[in-house]
Amino acid sequence: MPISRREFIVATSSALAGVAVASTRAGVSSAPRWIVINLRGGIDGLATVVPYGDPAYRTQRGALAIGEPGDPSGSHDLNGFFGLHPAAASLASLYRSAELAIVPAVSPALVTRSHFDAQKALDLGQGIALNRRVGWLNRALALTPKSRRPDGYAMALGHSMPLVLQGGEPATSWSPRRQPTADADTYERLRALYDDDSFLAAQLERAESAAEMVGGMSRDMRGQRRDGTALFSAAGNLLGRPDGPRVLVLDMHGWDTHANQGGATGRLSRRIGQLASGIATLREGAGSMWASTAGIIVSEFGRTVRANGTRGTDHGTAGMAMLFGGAIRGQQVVGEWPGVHASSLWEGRDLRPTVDVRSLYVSVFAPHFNIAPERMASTVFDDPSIAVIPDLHRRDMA
Amino acid sequence: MMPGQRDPGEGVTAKATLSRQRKDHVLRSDRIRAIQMSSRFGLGPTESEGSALGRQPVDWLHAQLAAGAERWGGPGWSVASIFHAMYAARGRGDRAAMRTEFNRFYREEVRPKLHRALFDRFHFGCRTEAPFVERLALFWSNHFAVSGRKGRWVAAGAVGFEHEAIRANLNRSFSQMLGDVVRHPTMLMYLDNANSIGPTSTLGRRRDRGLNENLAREILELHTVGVRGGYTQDDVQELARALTGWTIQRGRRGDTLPDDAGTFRFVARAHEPGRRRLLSQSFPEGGEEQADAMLKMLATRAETARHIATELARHFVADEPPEGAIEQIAQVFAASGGDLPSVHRAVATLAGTHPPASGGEKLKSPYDYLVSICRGVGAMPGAERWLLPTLAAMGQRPFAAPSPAGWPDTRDHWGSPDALTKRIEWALAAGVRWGDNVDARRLGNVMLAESSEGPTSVAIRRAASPGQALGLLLASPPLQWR
Repeated sequence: MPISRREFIVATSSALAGVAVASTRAGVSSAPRWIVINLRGGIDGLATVVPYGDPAYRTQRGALAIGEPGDPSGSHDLNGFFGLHPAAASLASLYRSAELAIVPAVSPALVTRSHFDAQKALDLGQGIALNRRVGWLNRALALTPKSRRPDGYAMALGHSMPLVLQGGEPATSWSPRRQPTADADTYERLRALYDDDSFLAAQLERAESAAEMVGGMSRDMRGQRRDGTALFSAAGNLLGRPDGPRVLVLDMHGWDTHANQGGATGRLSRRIGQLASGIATLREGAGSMWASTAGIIVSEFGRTVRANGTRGTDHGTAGMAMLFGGAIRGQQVVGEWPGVHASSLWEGRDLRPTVDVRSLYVSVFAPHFNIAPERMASTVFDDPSIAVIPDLHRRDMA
Repeated sequence: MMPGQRDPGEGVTAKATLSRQRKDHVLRSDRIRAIQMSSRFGLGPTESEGSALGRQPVDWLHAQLAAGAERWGGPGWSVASIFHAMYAARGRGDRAAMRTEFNRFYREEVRPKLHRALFDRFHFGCRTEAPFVERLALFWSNHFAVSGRKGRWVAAGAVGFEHEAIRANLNRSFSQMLGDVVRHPTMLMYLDNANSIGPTSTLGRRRDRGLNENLAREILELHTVGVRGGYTQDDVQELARALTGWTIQRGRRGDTLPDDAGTFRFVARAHEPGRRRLLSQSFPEGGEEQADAMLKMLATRAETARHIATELARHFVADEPPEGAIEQIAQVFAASGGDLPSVHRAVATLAGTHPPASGGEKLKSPYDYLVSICRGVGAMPGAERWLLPTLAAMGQRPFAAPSPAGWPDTRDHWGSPDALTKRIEWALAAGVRWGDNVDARRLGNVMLAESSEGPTSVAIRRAASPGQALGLLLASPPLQWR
């Protein structure tokens, strides 16, 4: 349930008591803010960033294809080749005001279709040896000046500490009270398992229709949309505070659309809508700090180009990422477009990656915190060969 | 193939491959059987338990019964010492001041000790390589249940009672266990016998106090012959009369506290005089030995053997235990005069004659469930923070059963809609909290009695995040059954 503004401020005030206000430069409001939005499950990049200009797009995507700009429920045009899903109007307008860039064919260095391994690869920034317990962001924090790292500097929003922020550098976590423990996607999958157990299935059904269930889990699930917004509101609020955290990580779930994902409308469309309004909420909450904010939306992989047998998509390889914030040079498409023609596909089924996600980290985080990108590539990722992509960041930052 | 190595020839290679496939299949079935056995007769599989089990589960169980196999060391303090300290804290003087001091003492001194003992007991269950023995200890503890719902004295004495009266007697006779249980101050307090006074005893004629039947009734109904054991209301009262005088050395307010305050004491002045008659048998007039003889008689009744055999068969085989399983145990119980090692060996034999099938027969209690997860994961540091509130939320606060009958042992109770809901909520939240630190695939390999193409294994692989995978595993149907 949405927390009252007053409750929230009281909570974070006590959490952040004693944090020094950072110095500011002329023309720049304050110290840089960095936010990572993790879309867990593998967002269908092709439904979000729509390559309507690709001649093979309509045939390959079939029933999942999104209409062209100008069609009823067609995509929002970006540059004559790419559009954004119809539910992402606010992201399209950010693109047009140069506060958002898209990366249509990106993947972590390690290519795998396993959620676990791919999420680890994304969070660790590793190509191999996924047994480290220190996220890339935690390692990168060590490169920023210690004096600029007060308590509450790095914060994860949600119940647990995501791997990307785990490690030696301190980080905190915060979540609104009564965050649901059973999101709708998880609960549905669990129900399917209970179908095989006649005794427990019957008990579960009784529980669902009983008053106590409605008071507990279902309410949390009905409130899921509201609670999802609560995290973005909280993030925006925190970004906007002059003495707020400088690094935020936010997990968003429910992207693993194996069945009935829908096209212009449906389950995925609703989720994209929530993401888009979440980013808009962030911008609004950040206020004057938006100018010094750089953010990245990532997911562990994309999904298959063609639909599967249950009107959804399976795990793929390259997916989409987005960069956003006042500190980003938006209104651009990053990386080559590999094409969705059958001959261009990865292993005959997936979009081929043309950008390593670590390039994005290095090319945006480093300039944002005034670190040499090459130094970040060597120190944080142990890999000097990571390509540095120029002109993603407005370099005049503290 | 390495350079220099001879090609064994096509036919040989094919045969080797086939027998390896068959071996893999057999290994998989062995693995599944081992997991079922660990769950049903142990406390749940660990990573290494499968190989310890081997192909002969009955031998594995027998080995654990051998003297010298590990046992829980206990809370490290005696119930007598805790009661003594509580009497001392109650002290002397103004009533209100005494109550305040007592409350403070309980809160600051006693309760932390209790919690520490409960955590220790849980961790022992997590790591013991003799889980069958621990299962038996927990069975008998529940058979002779005491509950802290009664009040702080019983709450304070419960875990020590289990150690002193139950665990200490696992290798002796049922009769000895019964005697120690009925004499224990915790039980005497719980079932109100400490204040039961014979109506025509010295104290009874002097004061306006009388008989309390509670302990006698539960001994007959729950502990020995059982509710169909053929006893009458007269039998209950006769046993109650015999038990008068079985009480606790108290610390009386205002007097010097005796050194043995908090221990068992037979008070002849409170004991009802006269001969007694129980289940058509006569018992001559006597002191403490009168009830003692009656208890020994009850311990060796055929109805007692049957009652306990039924409970053991229910615990290890099925909610509605098959007659064959009950008979197997009852015969050994009767023939051995209630020798617990013999009875426990008979229970082990059930693993061979009534092995766990594909599941869906015995539902885990919340305690079983949490211990099994701890065993599967291998360790649960920090369990101190969530163990007791979680057990409370799931409806099984330790030593807090709603009645002397202890915790029910059926799926209808633990699988009720509300109980199931609480368990699922916890499991899904635990998945989110621990998903980054516990590998659900690996844990599934240890705990799931299904093939890697089974529905839960597939769901884990297809999960959208580690937190979801772990939550699905912990909340999955296979993990709720033992």
